[in-house]
Amino acid sequence: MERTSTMQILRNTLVLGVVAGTAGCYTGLSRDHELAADSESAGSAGPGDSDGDDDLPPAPESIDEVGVSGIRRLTADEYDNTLRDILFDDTRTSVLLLPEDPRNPFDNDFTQQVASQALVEGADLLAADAVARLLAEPGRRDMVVGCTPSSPGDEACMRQFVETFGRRALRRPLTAEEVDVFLFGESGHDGAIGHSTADGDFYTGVDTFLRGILQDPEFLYRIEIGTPVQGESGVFKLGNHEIAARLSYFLWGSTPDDWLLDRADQGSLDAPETVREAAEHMLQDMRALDRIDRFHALWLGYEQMSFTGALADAMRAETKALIERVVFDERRLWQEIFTLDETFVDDTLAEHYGLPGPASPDGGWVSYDSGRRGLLSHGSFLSVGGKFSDTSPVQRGLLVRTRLFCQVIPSPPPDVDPDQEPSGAVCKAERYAVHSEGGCAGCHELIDPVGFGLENYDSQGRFRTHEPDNPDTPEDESQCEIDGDGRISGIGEFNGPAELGALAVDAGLLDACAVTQLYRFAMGRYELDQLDYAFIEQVLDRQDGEPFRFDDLLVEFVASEAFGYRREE
Amino acid sequence: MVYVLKRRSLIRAAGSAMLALPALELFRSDRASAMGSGPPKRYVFIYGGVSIGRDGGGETVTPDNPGFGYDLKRSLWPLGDGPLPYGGNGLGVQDEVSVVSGLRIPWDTGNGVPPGGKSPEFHYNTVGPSVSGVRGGAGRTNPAQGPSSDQVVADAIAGDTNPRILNYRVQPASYVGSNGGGGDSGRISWRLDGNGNVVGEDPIISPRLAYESLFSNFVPPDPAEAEAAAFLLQRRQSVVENVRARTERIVPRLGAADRQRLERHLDELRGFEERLKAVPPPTGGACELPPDPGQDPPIGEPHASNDGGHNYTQTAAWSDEELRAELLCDMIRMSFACDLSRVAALRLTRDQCFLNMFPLTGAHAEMHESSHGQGTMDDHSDAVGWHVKHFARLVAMLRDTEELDGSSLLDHTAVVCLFEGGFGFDPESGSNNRAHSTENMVALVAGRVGGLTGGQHIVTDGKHPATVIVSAMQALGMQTDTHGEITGNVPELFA
Repeated sequence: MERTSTMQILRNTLVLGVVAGTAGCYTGLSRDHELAADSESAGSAGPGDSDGDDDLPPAPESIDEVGVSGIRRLTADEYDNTLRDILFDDTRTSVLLLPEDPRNPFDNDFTQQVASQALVEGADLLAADAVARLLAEPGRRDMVVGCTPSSPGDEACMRQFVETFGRRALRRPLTAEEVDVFLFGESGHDGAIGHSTADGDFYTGVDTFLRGILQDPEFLYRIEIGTPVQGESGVFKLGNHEIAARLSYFLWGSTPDDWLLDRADQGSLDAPETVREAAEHMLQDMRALDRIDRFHALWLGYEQMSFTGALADAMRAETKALIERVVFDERRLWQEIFTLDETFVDDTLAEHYGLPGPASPDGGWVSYDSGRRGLLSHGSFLSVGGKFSDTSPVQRGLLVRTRLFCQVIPSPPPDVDPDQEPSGAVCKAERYAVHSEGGCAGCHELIDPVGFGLENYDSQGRFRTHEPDNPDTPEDESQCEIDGDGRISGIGEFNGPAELGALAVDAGLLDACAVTQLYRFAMGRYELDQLDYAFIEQVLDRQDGEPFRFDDLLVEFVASEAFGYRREE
Repeated sequence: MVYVLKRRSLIRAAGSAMLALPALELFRSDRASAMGSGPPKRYVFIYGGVSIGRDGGGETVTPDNPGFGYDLKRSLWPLGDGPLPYGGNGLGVQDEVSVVSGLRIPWDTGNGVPPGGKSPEFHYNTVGPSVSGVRGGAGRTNPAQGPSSDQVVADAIAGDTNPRILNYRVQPASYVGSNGGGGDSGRISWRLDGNGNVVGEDPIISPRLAYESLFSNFVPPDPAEAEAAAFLLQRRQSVVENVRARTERIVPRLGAADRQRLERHLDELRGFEERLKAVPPPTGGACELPPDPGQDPPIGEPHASNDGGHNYTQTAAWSDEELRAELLCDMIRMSFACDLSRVAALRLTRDQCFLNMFPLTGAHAEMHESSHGQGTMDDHSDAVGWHVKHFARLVAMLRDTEELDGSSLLDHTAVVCLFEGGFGFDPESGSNNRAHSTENMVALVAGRVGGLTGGQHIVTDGKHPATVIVSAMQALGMQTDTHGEITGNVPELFA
């Protein structure tokens, strides 16, 4: 099949909203939302109004690609990552205390974040716990503090610590005034030094300072201010440190390290070329692998699988190894994530799949048989979308259509109870045939055939020829044979995950969606408008409709001029 | 030159202030004056994310007989005093608890969502009308469209208590999919902000955090511990004061939307700062520093939605909700006893609750699927009964806790418990005898405030659950006959 231009796909789906089957079922990206009202009336976010001020930076050429952003609270994952990187603390306990992050499908949608007593006091207790753990480990404590106090009230050592750690925690250098407040308090009578001296223990002051900075709004939230640009009210050019934080939380899910902060200090992040260099450097870091792995896991729904244990761990390792190999180690085309003919398994997982064992029992790459290729064959992906005690062709079809292809499928009509399994026959194909009748047919024609094409793989990714027709009957005695035939309406037929992956890649169904989902992940916002789609289009334009490397995509993404600007809500 | 306040002098200063009057009298007189003509009124709203019905099998709560001395269906056994099938005995509170049955939330039949009603779908969209009395929007996952009863009642009775509302959830995670599901799907409390918008309130899910929030400024009885605690408290006050001041300086620099977000954070910070600086009540009588609950139980992994319910173990979809429920109810009781708060909103389980029943009752099932045929009818009765047990335990604790004037906490309290669904017609499927129904819902009501009378089964003919809430509000002295869009009460509750 001749590869379809991704730009053609995007334009078709965005502009035309290809109607398939029935009113309301679109195979295109949603573009219902108009640009938010001009932010002229919004409160001043900078040092002054921009109109007519020649001292302000000029508006970017890409002004129509600058999307809206708002203050973003660190997600639980980002909070834990940040503590790991600034305190060398990998206990990851925030989920016990912080309100849950809504997932849609990503966990960082700032429009859904609401401050609460649970957040404010949870942050206080998390900070207290983190400091207690630090001070209980003198080696780690000394590494974090970075100097040896000569007395309980050693102001020089405390000042050095506050300046160094404060820069890491708030992602920018502290002002001298801020340092003094941390040292001596708002009143000038307490603060870190006051408490150290009062208690006769330097580390009591360390405790005071760390408790405060770990509750600071600039720590808990990523707050971007920027500088107004000429002639464009509501658009701001981000400062170097704001860009550093954007980069690091996008590419690492964590705070900028000293290397990146140094570049920000030097003013080296205010041009696309220098941002590109920084991003290329950052992608060499293992944190980038973790972040890109998490992006795919949240996107495709297997971030937390529906079962646990060694098998689930092996499946997650399998998928992460695939991403590492394609994106980072061999820098293959990203689309090969869905077509690669080898997979990383340990002995347990190989046996589970019925594949030959790896050279090392701890894990290695083995060749697939003909039915499997790439991520869609993994137990991680295939575990998503179970229902009614087995795989659900509807749920899997929806997963592929809405998440993987970014298509819009309406919710079932009010008179349909999705918690009730179709009945009337023993075998699933016959039961689900009711979906091809009447008003259900339009949407289910888009959904069910995709899911049925994966039916030969159970909810833990094992190949099967029959589905269970009774919980107490062994599968090989079941009367329900699975043919595994599937179809993407208007695109083509397939059987199994290997053919589905190849069909989707060849038809160019994945590229625009990947960039769109990546944009949502980067901006921390699910709902998009034409400014956002303009950014997405320019990123896709650079790929010129061809398959792309994901590291290239990330670099092009952050090196886009508009990445260095923000638009007020 | 920096002025340094010596730690010991800080403690001495605090101690001398407290010694100016006998501590007990000082604080008791403060509490008594806060009470006005008597002990303050309290309100507890409890919500369980299960239907009392089971597809095709009937429902598990409604007694056969109306009036006093009603019969106890299996789900209500915890109200009695006999042995429970899953261990322990009932709490012996039947005389304190009235069961209101036959409640109904109307739904959209094609002409729009009716007042106080819901869309035809089920799950998540019953909580809004239940807690607020205001109709929900279209679809399945709707936040409340009006303030919830805990917020409305707190405006009337909370006074200057801080926090105004104890907003807790026992089940910390959804246990399905990515185990996230934060936001409105985990809330039961919504308030009106200064702009008239309805804003959700995230609950505290950690018993340890609930304890720290309420009791960390209490003075430990041991002098050495008291000295250390006072110094730590002073440092925490200083820290939060600094954080608050820094936040205040940022807010004016933000655009309108960001400013609104950070102002909300700032409001919470101010509340926290006030709590830290509040003089704790004296211990003694019923008010005492409760035992530290220690670390929270770990949060369980999601359940396997496709395992047929046969693989439930002690760990999946389970975060020791038994212990969490006990601890959070203990906090509510002690907070009331010390008059730290007067209103509580307690969500025991999330809507479409996937809680593992095996550790609770030994059933290889989870609570949602038990309403759809997993396990047995008795298993589902016990799933509902687990909620009733913790409701009953709280009622018993309130009954057995003395106020300063010797009366019972329950004398001044109204407790209302609602569930996600009832049993009957399901407009989604068009079928009868279903768990996905808002027909035949029940409410459990306890408390003696304002003439509430327990021990009866009151059968209504399709009244809205908010009428029960209106009754509780009236019992608490509020001059109202509406909640949200719903007017009227259940007069029999005052029999």
